Amino acid sequence: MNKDWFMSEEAFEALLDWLASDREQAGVKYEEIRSGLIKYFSSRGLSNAEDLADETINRVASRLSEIRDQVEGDKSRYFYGVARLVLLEHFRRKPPQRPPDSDGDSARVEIEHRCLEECIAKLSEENRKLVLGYYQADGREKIEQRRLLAEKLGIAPNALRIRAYRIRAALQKCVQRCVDHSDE
Amino acid sequence: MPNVDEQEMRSYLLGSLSPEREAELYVLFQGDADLREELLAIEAELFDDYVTGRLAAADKELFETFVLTTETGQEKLRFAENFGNFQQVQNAEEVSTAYRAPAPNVPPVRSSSASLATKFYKNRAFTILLIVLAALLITLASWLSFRKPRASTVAKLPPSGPVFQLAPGSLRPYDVVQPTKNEPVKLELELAKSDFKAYKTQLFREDEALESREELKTEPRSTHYVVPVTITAEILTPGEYQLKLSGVPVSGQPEFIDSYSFRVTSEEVDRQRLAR
Repeated sequence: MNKDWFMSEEAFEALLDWLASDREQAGVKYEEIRSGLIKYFSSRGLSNAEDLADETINRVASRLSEIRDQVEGDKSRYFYGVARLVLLEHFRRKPPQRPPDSDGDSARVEIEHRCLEECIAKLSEENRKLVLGYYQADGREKIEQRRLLAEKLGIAPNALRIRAYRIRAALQKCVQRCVDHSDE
Repeated sequence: MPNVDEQEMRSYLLGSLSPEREAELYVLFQGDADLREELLAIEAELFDDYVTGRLAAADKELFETFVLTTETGQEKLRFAENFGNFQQVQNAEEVSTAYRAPAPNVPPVRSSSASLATKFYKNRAFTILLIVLAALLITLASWLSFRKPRASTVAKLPPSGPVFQLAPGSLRPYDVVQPTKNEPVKLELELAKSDFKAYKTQLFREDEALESREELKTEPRSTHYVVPVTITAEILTPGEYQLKLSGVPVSGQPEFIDSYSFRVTSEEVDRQRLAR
């Protein structure tokens, strides 16, 4: 699709006509689809969700003459398929984030380690054991260890997960504050 | 609470659900704080999986595309890396306390057995308790020796002398007993991945560069890799040391990977510590 393609009133009417023969129903359907597309792009944390939703709709509208007779059933699925492509293109425009190299950054790593040690030391013994026990093991041991930990605490595995996560989130904030303080 | 299983939440985070389902779940998560928290908990575990190399290649690509690109992605990644390193150090310290390799020529440690012997003969219940405890310890020791080795394990004793495994980024130095004259010390530097064809190490003692080794290769272990390094005994007087490990890519310019700390103690100091 030409990026400069502009949806004329005629194209918009053709799109509505394709969505439903009744004009009012077509309008409702259009709004539902647009709203759903905005939610889809928003779920990826994109601030330009509305723009991407409109781009998706424009692409569908620009190809209407080709797809009109090919798309059957729920037409919103076609819009979502195009949305997925739009999303992938959006992310491919910026390169995937790779972890930063630690080259030349060893001082910061040391600070972060020290802060993490300090923050973990501030935890209650119970919380320390919980968070370290929960995230410690890997592989098959992980599942068994978590099951035993949940049993020991007398809580459901999912409740254990949430509890461990809350401690971890608090640790992360503590580390960030400590690192920021070290930078001052 | 609506039921969204863990696998679907992972797929949601990795962007592998259909767009319609993703949009539906987005609305669900917006309206349900408990579900949202569960999603964040699963996301945290995804970060751990990524950092430890447990994600399948396809998921890894999706993770780098859809998860690391979020506003808080890099911050969460740094925390996951630091947390993982911290746990490795903890594991190494716990296991090394249980399995410290004895220095050569160190006489067996004598426990304060006199009072125990007295109790042994005078108190049968105590005797039985000691026997049960000993049996449990032996069982635990056997189980630990046969289980799958952790990423960071303690020194093994090959026929030619002790080998010490060092975990990266450790803040507390690993203790290595001063070798006897002419006996080299073998260290194994742990690595999660083997990305380079060759590796280089530089040994420092209190910021003084002592020696370097080049053209080192990794060796696979059960869950990770190690870079074996042999250090001559003459250099290792008691003190604190640091080994800096770099990978050497095709370009030839070394890239720093991590540092490994260890402390060389004299036999006497170590014997005193064991006797406490």
